[in-house]
Amino acid sequence: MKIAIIVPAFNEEKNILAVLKEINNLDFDKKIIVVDDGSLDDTFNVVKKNFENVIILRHSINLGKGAALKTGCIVAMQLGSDLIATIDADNQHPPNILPKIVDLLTRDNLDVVIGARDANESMPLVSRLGNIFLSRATNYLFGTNISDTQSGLKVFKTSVYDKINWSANDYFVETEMVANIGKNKLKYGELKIDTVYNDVYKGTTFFDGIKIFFKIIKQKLK
Amino acid sequence: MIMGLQIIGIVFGILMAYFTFLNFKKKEFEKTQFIFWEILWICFIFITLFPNIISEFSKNLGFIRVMDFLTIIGFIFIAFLSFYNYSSINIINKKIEKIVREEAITKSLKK
Repeated sequence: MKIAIIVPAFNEEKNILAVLKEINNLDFDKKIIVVDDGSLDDTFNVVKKNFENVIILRHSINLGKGAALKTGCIVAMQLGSDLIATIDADNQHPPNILPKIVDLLTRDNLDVVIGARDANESMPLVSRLGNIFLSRATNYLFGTNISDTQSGLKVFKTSVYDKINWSANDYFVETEMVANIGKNKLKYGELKIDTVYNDVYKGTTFFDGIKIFFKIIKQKLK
Repeated sequence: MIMGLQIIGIVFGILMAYFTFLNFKKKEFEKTQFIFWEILWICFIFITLFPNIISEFSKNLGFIRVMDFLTIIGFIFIAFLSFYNYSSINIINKKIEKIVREEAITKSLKK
C-alpha cells in the first residue's frame, strides 16, 4: 500500500529535521510531503537541503493548518497514494507509531485511525482541559467516540478523502475531520500515543479553543 | 440658526466629498462611482442643513425627531456595510487560498 505522509509546517526549522529523519526510516512504500505554510524562519531550506526525497511545497503566505493539509492531500492524491497520514512537524507525535496505526487500519479494515494523545500530566493543563471539553462536545454532537478529537496524527484511506474533506483553514480542521467521520458514518479506530510538548506556546491556544467550540456548534447546524 | 451638530455633519459631508474626489483623481474610483458618492454626500449636507425636508417623511414612519430617524438609518447602513465587508473578505480569502495553493503545487512540480 502506498502511503503519503503529510507534514504541515509553520516555523519548525528546529523540530522538523528530527521528525523527517524518523519518518524517512520507516519501512513503507511512502512519499513524504512537507507543506511549508508561509514560514518566517528557514523551515523550507532546512528540509530542501537535508532531504532530497521529500516533496516540499511552500505557501507564499501563511494560510493555516487546514489549508496546508489540503494542499498536501491534493498532491498525495495526484501521486496515487492509497493512504494518507497527517503528522505535526513539531515532533509532538512519535513518527515510529505510524506502522502500528497503518496495521490497525488494514487489519480491521477501517477508514480512519487517529493517534489519540494521553491527557496526562505531560500535557499542559489548559490543553488537557480544553481537549477533554472539545472532544466531549464533538463526540456528543456528531455521535463519535474519540478520546482526542484534536489530534493531528491521523491515517485515512484516500478513497474516503471526499467524505472527510474539510473547509477549515485553521486548527478547526481536526474537529471538522472528526465531525465528517461521524456525519458520514466512517469506520474509525484509535491508538494511544505518547506525546512530547516542545513549546507550550505553539499550537492551539485557549482562544483557539473558544473559536473551535463555536465552530463545532456551527458545524452541527450545517 | 445652525446647531453644533449640523456644523459637524456639514464638515463631515464636505470632507467625505473631498476624499471621494481624491479617490477619483487617483483613478481608484470610476466616473459612475464618483458621481454616485458625490450625490450622496451632497444630499447628506443638504439634509444636515435643512432637516425639515425629511421631517414629514420621518413622522410618517413614526419618528418624532428627524435625528432619531437619521440615527436609525445610520445603524442600518453600518449593519449593511459590515455584512458586505464580511462577504467580500470571505470571497477574497477563498481566492487567495486558491492562488497560493496552485502556486505552491506548480512550483513543486516544476522541480
